[in-house]
Amino acid sequence: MITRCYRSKIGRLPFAVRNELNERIRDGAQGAELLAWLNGLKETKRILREMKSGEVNAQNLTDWRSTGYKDWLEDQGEADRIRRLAEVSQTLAAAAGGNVAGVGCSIATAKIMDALESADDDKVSDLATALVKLRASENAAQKVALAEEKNALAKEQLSLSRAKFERDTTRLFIKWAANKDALALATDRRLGSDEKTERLGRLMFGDLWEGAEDGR
Amino acid sequence: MNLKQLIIAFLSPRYPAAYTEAAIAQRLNASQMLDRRCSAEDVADDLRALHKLKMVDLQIDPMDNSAVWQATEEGIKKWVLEGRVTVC
Repeated sequence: MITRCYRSKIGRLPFAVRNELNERIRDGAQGAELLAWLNGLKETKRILREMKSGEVNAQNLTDWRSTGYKDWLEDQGEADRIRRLAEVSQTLAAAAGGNVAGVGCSIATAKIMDALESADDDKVSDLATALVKLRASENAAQKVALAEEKNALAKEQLSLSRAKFERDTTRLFIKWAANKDALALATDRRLGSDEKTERLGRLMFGDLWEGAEDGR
Repeated sequence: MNLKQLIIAFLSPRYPAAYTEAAIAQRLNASQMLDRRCSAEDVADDLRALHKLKMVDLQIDPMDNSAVWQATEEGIKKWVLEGRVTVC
């Protein structure tokens, strides 16, 4: 940022007032609205009194748009550029194994910043693109690992369900093997397999058996 | 702008980068935003004052025990409110 000295009415206003004016212009405020606000401020009145000057007028505002406001916009762009460099530097420092919250990472970030600030924009842009790609490929690899983990978990659950089913069936068999009616049905040679299944099912499960589908 | 404001204007946009007093002084002098040259001691004095106001944070580099400084959330807020003036 270059140090600037403005001699105009608006340029002599305090930094905070000029800054707010710039923000209002950027946000689309109209001339009449800006002038009413600006001329209503105590600071403006005091400075204009000291300058023995009239109120800020539309021409002053137009001049400001092409000088101070233009410079301010450029400065905002410069701040954004440095913020982006800081983000890239921090990503690089963390990618090298640094703990993001640690002092080592903050120092490494500063060293990388120094290097990047003196590099030309194209090289920094290439570096940022490479980092974005690296991050994207890391994310993709993480997604694959997560899917594999889910798959393994599902298999494990299936295996557990199967073991539970086998154990429950064995318990049920022991219980009903001791039942005379069930034993008689199971050993009745006059009944076919389907008929035995149907009758045993009704005996063992009662009403619950009614709604069951074939292929049980 | 005074030295304290310029220190904030240097550290805030670079957060979380942390710098020594000498590095900050060198960059401020190079920017020519101060109407005089500042020394590392001048910067250290103002950093201590800003530290009391919780605008900057002091950390010790475990490699060589040097002090490094970075902006805090409070410092960054102030920087934004004051128009994000940036020391390049």
